[in-house]
Amino acid sequence: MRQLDKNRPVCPQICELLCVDIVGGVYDAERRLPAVRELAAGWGVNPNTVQKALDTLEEQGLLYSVRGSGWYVQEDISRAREVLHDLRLEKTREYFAVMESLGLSAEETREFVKEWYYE
Amino acid sequence: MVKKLFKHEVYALWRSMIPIWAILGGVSILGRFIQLFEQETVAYNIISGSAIFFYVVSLAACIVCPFVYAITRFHRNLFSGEGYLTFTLPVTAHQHILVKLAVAVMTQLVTLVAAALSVIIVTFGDLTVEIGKAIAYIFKLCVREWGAHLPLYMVEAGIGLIVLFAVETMLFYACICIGQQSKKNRILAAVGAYFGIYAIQQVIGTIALLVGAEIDWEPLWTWVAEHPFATVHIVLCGGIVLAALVGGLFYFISYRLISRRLNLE
Amino acid sequence: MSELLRCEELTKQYGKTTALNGVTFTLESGKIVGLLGPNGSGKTTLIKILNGLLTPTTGAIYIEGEKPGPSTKAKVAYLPDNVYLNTWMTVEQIVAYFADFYADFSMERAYEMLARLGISPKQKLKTLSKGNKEKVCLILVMSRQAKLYVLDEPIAGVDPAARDYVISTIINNYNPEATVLISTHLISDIEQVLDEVLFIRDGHLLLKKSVEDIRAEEGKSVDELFREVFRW
Repeated sequence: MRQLDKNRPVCPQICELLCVDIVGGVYDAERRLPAVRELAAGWGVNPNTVQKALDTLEEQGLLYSVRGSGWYVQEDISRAREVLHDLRLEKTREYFAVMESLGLSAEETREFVKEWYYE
Repeated sequence: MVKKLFKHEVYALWRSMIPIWAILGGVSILGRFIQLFEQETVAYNIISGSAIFFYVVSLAACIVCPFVYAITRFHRNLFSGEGYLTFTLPVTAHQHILVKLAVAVMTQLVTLVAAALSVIIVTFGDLTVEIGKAIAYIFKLCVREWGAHLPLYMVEAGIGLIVLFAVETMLFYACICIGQQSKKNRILAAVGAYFGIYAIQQVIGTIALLVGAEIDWEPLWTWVAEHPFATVHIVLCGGIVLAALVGGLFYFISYRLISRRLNLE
Repeated sequence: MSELLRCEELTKQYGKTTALNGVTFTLESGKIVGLLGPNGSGKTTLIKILNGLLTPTTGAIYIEGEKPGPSTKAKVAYLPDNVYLNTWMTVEQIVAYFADFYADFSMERAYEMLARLGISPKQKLKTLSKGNKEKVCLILVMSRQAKLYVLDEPIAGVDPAARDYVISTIINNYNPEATVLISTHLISDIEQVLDEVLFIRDGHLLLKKSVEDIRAEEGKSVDELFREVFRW
């Protein structure tokens, strides 16, 4: 069970997790996702929330649903890559903003991360 | 739904009763078997004496058990933890009480038949024939004396017996329901309710007696002397109606308390 | 999203103490709802009224427009907060009992879940461990296709592994038409499963809100908000 952040809405977190999995190609040749209930049980979250996340990803063009069969990943995952890229950008921006408020300029933050990483 | 309730109720009650019936049957057969070795020895007297003792004890248990089991079943199934399940079944309070009552009375009647059968078993042989002859003789006598009234009397007495069982059972049900209104010691409160109802009955009886003493009964006695058969019918039917009214009151009390003032622990 | 449950000015008094005081709210179908409050706040009283085990002093509760009665009991699946299965029956018999009385009960589902837990159908309920008794109770309730599931403190007093089992059982048996009402005071374990929460204290309804809204607007978990609201 992957731990979710309880202070943030669950739906966007599910979107992020799914996005990573789509780009990572964890789904089988048919590119079919597990059932909503299974996904929900796996994360320990509400099935309605998972449903909402899937709907969002469909809107963004990452997934499509087949009536009576379930959810599938789009053959072309370039959209997923874009979405994931945007997410990463957003998080990075947020991070740099936080570090700035803690007194580090962008350049200093880069140095800081590098140091911490190679330690 | 009623059918299913009935089925489960019979199963729940009879699984406690069947061993009792079986013991009665066993003791009866044993008692009859011992008689085969009848002899004038001390050992035989001791054995047959204790056999009779056991027979009487199990007969008494058989009479008491249907009441005791029906009452404990009522209490456990409705008011203990089981009540959480019982009262969330898609069934009305009427159905719960009536089915329990019907099965209790049925069990009492079956036990009565079992007791009669046990007497036949114990006396099986020449004695049975003698008893049968005696009953036939009494029956013949009754037919001669009462004629066409006899079957009616029998029906009335039969109904009376069933009503009596039902009212007696309903009394205990009502007491349990009243006891549940108490915050704690609910069983003790039920016993208190029993004595309370008993006291009320005594008071009403005393008042009736006092009032009765003031009335001139002479015309009634002459009427009774002139119409002996009708009198017996009136007494039997009146008794049934009166008992049914009292039973109905107990039923009403139980129903109201269960449907309006249920408070499981 | 149709209205499933409606509470109107629900009040319950036991003698002088007021367990519920003018509680009014509605629940839609298709939601998992948390009924949250400290011990003795009126959660169980509300649930008992909903199941027809208590009659309200004033006010009313409606399940699909009907007051609690045989027809609502046929569509509400209730897990009481105490273990009620202390009977002579075997697991098999209690399953048959449920199947007899509840038209929406699936024996197949019940046996499947029992098998997964390794509970023998021939076992007497009395001889089961406390944890297994609780699981059997949950299985009986979740094997129904009810409109409304009412679970009173399903995760109180069970170990963390059993807690996960309870939560995943609820999720796995959830159907989008039904609503699940879960009462608990252990919020952090269950909050991610909830759509909505009702906060209740001293018989008053304090808050009814979507869980995602709480996280988005307040930037905090339901548990944190709960601790804030109920601090004293």
